[in-house]
Amino acid sequence: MASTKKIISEQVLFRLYGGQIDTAAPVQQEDIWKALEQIINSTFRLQQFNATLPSGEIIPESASIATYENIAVVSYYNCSRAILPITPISLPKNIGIFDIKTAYSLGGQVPQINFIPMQRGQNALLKSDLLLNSLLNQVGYEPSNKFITFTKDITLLGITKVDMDLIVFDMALYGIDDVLPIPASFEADIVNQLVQQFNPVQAENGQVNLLTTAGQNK
Amino acid sequence: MQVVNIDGIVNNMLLKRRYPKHWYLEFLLYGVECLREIGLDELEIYNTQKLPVSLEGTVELPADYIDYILVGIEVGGRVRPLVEDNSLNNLQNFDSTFQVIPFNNSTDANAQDETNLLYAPNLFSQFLTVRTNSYGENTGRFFGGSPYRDSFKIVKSRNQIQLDPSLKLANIVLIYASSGLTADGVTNVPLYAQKTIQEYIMYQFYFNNRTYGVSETEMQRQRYIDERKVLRARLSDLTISTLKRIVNRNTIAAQK
Repeated sequence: MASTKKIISEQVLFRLYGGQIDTAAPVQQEDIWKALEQIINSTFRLQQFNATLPSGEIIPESASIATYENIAVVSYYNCSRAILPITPISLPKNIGIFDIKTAYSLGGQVPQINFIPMQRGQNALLKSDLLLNSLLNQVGYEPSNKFITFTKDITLLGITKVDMDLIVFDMALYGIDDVLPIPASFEADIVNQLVQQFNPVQAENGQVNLLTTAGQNK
Repeated sequence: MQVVNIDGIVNNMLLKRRYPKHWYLEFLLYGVECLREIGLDELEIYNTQKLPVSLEGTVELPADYIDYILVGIEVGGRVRPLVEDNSLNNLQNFDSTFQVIPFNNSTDANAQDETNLLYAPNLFSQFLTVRTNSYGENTGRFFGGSPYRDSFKIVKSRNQIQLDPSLKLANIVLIYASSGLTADGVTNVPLYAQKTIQEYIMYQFYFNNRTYGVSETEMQRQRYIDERKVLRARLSDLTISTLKRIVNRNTIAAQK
């Protein structure tokens, strides 16, 4: 079952305090959401670098690939470009931008192209290769900050929109009710880590003022 | 003819390695490099083109040109070969406005074309001399008696063929060894070469990757060399019957 930040935070609070979630509890949902983002980021990044890459698997976990549809492409001098809807995670060879293709919504009226990924600056180097300077009549793209610059003006082919598959671990960009792109197998582990992290937080006894140490480990 | 596409070969490699498209460009570079290499020795791609001759008697070499096999003139259904002459000038003749113009020795009296190309000494002028017998037949051994104009020179520095200034032609026929790297060449890779290209891609991938050791790279190189040998064997026209025929034809009765 897909989880959201809210579902996970409620689950953590239930295990911490039980019963109805109390607004007077020392740990609130907002605290858990931020901690949740941090744990997911570190867990997935570790998973990709420590487990996936060394085993020879390069293609990332499908659950971490989010699809952004109908991203507008505009003509830009002799080529064209689009704006990344979200900043993907930094992985070798820009795998964070996993795939860019002609938008499905354009239907069969325009060429269905999977664009060739290039690293920044490679297009300039390729210009001197007699055969490959046009990428065998294919279209590549280079990421440059928030822009994706295509090697040709694809709007002339009628491609005015593209679909992007991006590897997104930045959970801060997900709302509390958005379905999180995390594998179900990780959920229990994440909840356990959060419970462990917030368990020592105790409510302050007695008078509470600005100088109180409530909620801190003593 | 069954052919494969280099784009298909590269995608096939990505699938085999379970790599995403981010390795496509790197593999494509290696694949094209291999095609260039085997194009020189094994694939033997020869192209024939009919090329226009400029007013200055020059012809632009094709982009995929490596070396010429024949430069000739189209005469009906046949091609008359021209002869290479290294005495032709590498430099061009310019007028006062720096426009290239023909050299002055190309007078109309000497001009030759497709229908008026001298291949033999002009015997008509030699009648009743020691060069002919009483029947007007050439007695032979007549050297340097005719102004040959059927010559050309490959001028690599200008990427042109320079024809004799007196040769007035509209077109020439050029048969040449091609690098095979035209757009057509790339989309049509002979099926025999697929495995060789794949092994070369892997060899180069190992070679240019810092995570693989020398022994792994060397092993991959050996696999490429093995596949290249297989390619040569496949392309070889020699069969047992051909070899027997060669031996038989060259076995003659001779004195000991």
